Amino acid sequence: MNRIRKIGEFWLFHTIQGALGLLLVLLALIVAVFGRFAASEESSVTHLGAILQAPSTAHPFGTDDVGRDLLSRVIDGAGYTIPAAIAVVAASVIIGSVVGVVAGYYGGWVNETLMRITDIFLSYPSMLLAIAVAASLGSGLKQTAIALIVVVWAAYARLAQVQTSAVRHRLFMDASEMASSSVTTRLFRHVLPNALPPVFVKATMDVAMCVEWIAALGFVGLGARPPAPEWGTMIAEAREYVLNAWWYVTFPSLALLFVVLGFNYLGGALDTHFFGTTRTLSRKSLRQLALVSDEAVAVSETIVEPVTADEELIP
Amino acid sequence: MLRFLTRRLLGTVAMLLGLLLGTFVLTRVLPADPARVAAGLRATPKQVAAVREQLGLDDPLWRQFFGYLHQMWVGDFGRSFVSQRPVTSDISQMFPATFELVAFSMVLMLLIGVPIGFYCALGRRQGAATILRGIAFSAMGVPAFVVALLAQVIFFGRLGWLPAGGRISGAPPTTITHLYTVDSLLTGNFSALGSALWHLVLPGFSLAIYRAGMVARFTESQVRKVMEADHIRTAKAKGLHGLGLVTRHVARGSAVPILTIAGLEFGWLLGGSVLVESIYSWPGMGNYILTSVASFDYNPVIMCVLVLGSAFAVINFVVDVIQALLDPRVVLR
Repeated sequence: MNRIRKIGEFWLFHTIQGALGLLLVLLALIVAVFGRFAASEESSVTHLGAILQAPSTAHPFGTDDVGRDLLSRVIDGAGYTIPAAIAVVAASVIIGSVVGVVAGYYGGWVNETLMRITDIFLSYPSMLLAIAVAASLGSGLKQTAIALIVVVWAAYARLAQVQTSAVRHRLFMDASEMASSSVTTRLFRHVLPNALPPVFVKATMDVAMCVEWIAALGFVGLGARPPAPEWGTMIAEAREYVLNAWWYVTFPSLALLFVVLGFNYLGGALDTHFFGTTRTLSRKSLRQLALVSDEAVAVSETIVEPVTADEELIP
Repeated sequence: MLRFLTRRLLGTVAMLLGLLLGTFVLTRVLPADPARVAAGLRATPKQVAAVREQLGLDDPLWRQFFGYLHQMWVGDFGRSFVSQRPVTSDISQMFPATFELVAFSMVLMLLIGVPIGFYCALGRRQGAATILRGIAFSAMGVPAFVVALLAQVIFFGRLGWLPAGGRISGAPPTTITHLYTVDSLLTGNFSALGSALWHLVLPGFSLAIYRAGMVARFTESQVRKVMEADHIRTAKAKGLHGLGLVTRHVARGSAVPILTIAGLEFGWLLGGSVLVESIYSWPGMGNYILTSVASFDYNPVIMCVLVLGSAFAVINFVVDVIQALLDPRVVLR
């Protein structure tokens, strides 16, 4: 019985939120990876005789203004947006972690310089930054991805820096140094593993954010260009037809909504899984909270607190 | 305190300089040639070259940057090539519109988020609280522009209850502050006030819901924390309970952090307002940015980025100072 509960906990099934999140994310990933084999031929074929048809058995989601099958378009959109969002987050995690770990490990002026640069990126309304960068790079999925990396990486730098400077002076680090391990060993074997869970939680939620932003930039015409099967672009195209073809704007919106919710739920469940539900946020973290998102800071604090308690024991 | 103020002030100045450098870099990597855009579509190569000369685009970069700083210093932000007016006069009309929308949705955000947070932390029916918590958490993840779009489809398209966009129908009230609600209230023009509020409802809610979930979550965690404090235990031991306890001790203890967070949410709302403004054709800065970006009209883009970025920096600074005044420990950090 205990074992079953453990498996349930591992798979996050002990909360509705976790189960729903996992389900939606798995579904989205499966559609993103395998969807193209089922859909891509249909999605770009225009049937001018079948324009704006209501949902039917032949076209479960209906057709768009040039007669393309919307279900295929939405499925293709998953294969387009989700990998891009994951790539953006992965790149941001790598860049941010390197900057943050270096800053936290070396401290001093290195830390000051790197963190002040990070602060400039953090202290700017992120959507605005994304729009400004995307505007200057031009439209297209690649440009959108770069614009988002510019916006997202800084939060990971802050997170990694907090984590690293927290473990920097712990006993096991001194021991490792005494055993004359190299800097890379210390960073990769000791610092990084300690920093992973909060990064993992934040990354999951950031995938949701990036999916949303890719769609948002596509929607205002700064992201992917039609005829790319990108959800935001599709929603923008569908706006003209909201009054006589409700399905056109509805299904891409719902797909977007479910994917964003799925990753958010999963992130929330992971958060609870790693750090419990009883976390409260201290006033100290308020500033960072607004800048980095509450998960990241709350999480980093739970990591920091036991460390400071530890350090008090050492005279 | 003085040291803290100096440090924060320097930080703000550094951030503004970073912003200036950032906007400068942005204009130099634009896909369109600024001289070409400035000269207009039908300009001959010779005219373009003349404009390039005039704008100083052939000078070395460092010189261009200092020229640019100088321009900013004397308040010359250039013209919009589309509207053919100085950017500053365009912005002076747009900023109040954006400010009105963001301020309105901030009030809504607090009115929705704070009570939900209190209920989740203190409510008797924890089943209902769990559902509310789920809704609040979901709201945090729902894209604002999807909410805005669906709300427009439902409340304007299907039901026809609320206007599709714009700030007001009919003549705007006599201009005092450029905020239509305040102006109409000051001049006693109640039909204009009604219309202005009516137009604020949909965009305001679409923006507010986006962050109200976050406020609810934060309020709950704050209230829970305050409930564990010693003075609450004392108050309980003295026989205080229910509404008295909440209004006199809990609300007071958690008000400061919640208000602080609300101040910082301003930045999120500014960012989110760009899309919402475009959906509801709100004549504010978000809309201005997007139309300018589409026509490679870079002067307005720079100005908007600067104005919104500075607004955010100033709010951050003020929030910091208020926090330091209320909690001296912040200074020592």
